[in-house]
Amino acid sequence: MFYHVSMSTEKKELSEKNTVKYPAAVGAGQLSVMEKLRILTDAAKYDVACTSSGVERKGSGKGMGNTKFAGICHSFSADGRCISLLKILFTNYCIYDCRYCINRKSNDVERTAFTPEEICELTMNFYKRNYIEGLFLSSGIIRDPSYTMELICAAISRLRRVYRFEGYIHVKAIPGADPEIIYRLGLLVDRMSVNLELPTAEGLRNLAPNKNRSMILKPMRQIQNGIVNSKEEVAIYRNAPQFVPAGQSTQMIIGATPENDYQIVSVAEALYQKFGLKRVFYSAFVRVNEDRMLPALPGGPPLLREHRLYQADFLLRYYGFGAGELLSEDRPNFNVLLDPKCDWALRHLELFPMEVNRAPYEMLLRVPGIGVKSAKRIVKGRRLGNLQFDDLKKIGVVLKRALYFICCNGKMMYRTKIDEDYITRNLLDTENKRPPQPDLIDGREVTYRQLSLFDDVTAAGMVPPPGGQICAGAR
Amino acid sequence: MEIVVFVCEESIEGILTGVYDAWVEALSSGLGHAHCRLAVNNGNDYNLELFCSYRDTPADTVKAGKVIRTLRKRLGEEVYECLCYAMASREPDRAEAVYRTIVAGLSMEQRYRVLDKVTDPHVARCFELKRNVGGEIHRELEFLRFKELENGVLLAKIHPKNDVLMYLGPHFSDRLPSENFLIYDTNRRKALFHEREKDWYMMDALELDEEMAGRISTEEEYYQDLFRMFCRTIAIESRENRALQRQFLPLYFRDVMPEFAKK
Ligand code: SF4
Repeated sequence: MFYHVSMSTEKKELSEKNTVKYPAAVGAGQLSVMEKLRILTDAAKYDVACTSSGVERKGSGKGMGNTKFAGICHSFSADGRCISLLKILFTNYCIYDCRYCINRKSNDVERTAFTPEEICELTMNFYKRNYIEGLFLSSGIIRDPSYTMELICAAISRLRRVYRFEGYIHVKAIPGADPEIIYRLGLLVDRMSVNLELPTAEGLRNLAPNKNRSMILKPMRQIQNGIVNSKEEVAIYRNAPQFVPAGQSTQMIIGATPENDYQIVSVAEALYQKFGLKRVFYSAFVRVNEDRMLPALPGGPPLLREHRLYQADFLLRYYGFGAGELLSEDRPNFNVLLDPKCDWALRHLELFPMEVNRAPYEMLLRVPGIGVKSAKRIVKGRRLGNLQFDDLKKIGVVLKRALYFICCNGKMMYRTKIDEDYITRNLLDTENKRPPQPDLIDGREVTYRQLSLFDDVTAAGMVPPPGGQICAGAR
Repeated sequence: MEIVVFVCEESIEGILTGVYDAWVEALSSGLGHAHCRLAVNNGNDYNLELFCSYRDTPADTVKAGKVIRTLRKRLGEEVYECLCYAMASREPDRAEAVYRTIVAGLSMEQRYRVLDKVTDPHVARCFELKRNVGGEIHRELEFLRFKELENGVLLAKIHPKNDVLMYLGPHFSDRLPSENFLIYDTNRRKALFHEREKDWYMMDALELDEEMAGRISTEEEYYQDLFRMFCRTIAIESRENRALQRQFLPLYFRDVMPEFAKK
């Protein structure tokens, strides 16, 4: 049904618009597909988003593919990041010269481009073997943004209409492209994203001389409005075409420019609130170019910082925290040693210990060691009887973190001090052993794996904290 | 009081038959459910205990069907689905956990809420089993790989710990309606078939024709090579973290994944 709809609206446009010929000049056909795939994957790998979530769609029975709301990851690469989509560039030719980018004009790298046919064949053949959930297509800019966007649109519409691919498609919208093309493309894909690139306009000015902030925000706004309008139309006419049904995302590079965490989290918060974004992705800066404007990173990409930002991002989206609660002008950066939720709790010890059998859901969410899933189960479970620490463990509460902040029926699990230094020291024993976690995790795994970054994994083997004693009342 | 242990066959049908028989016994003896217990016959896993009598309960479609109807009607679809997942588990105590959860559920006022009763150890166990099975189903949806045979059939071999094969049918037949495919559980020698534009079905006790399964299409190796190259290239060297990769993708699954083939 989905395609049925988009086809009817799209057919005539295509016959008119399909005047863009594939550029012979970009060297299509000179390299083998294997070589092209290597080059255009290598050129795409710094793009972070690889999620296939946000839209549930059954197959029409006439094509190939469907989508799952939670998304599915299909593999994990050697850096521990998830592989869900065939993430490639359409071409790595580019007329721009962004300083942080491997594909910038002034770099001497091998250039190539896929033909629409090649993109379709790769997607279909990977998909049917269950290698991927779909395609994530981005591109360098050939000739100008509209021209490039039109080529991408032609490839995607071929994939949808000729190959009848019904799996997940994510495309990057190129700032500066004709809004009409972006609109047409938005009716074919599931997710669109415009890269914010850098957290502030100033950072952008320094590192991406051909771009500016308002040029980036324009398509972002257009996509936001398109999504809102499309939802309204679908509510009235069930068969109206859907525009970017899986929502919009963006990404920014962390650590290439001097912004602090507070600025970054505030930008993310504004994007969620004012642009209705589904996701903001953070990508630890990897120094691929020699350039005096770029910071040297002797310790490698700032992975821990990226990790803290993702944790904070979760707190914004699912835990009801505001950016201003997590950080402030006076404390503009995250604690290196503690995750943002523990950090917050330690600064608000007056609220603890919290009675698990009575605390409102919103407050349970603020307890370190209690995740969204476990908070929900606590609320349901306690209606049917008073919960004990044992029950909490079964529910999935990470007691080794939560125990400092909760009590059951008036009793804490161990005799512990409600004291910042004491709790910090004990928490660090667990926290420090944790490796920096990945950024991009998909799927039901987002709720399961990524939330597990803090909370939802059952604590295996509980060890009483140093100096703690088993409290008789707990059992 | 002597306890009667109903020994069920391993299948969901078998366990539900056990539930039915135990129920009848509990009522007709007047001794109640405390008098009955369920075990699964997987060859060796139940220890004979003193003061117990053992009764075999051969799977019976009619009895199982009656239990299914009761469960769906009186406990609701969500609970029913959870119990089905739990019964697909390989844990020997699954039948008993499911039986006790049903007993608890049907005796509650808000029957459809039985899963929230986390303080009941059998309910908690069912929930845990369901979580394990659900996790494994999801990992098969992620990590299962088809290869294309000479005759165009897509073949995937899996070796799940729990009996999850049938839960893969709806997913893959919805996404690959025009393909002929076959998923084979090498541990249980069961297969799930899907014929182009038809419904899927399952077959038990089936040997896979290894010779046929080895004859891959001319393009198969090419796409495996392409995907392997893609997976290698997409990793960022300066972020390499094999431990993390292993945490998300345990070695256990990798033998069927072409991107991990040694080449
Ligand atoms: S526009 Fe900038 S970031 Fe995008 S490919 Fe070209 S140089 Fe790279």
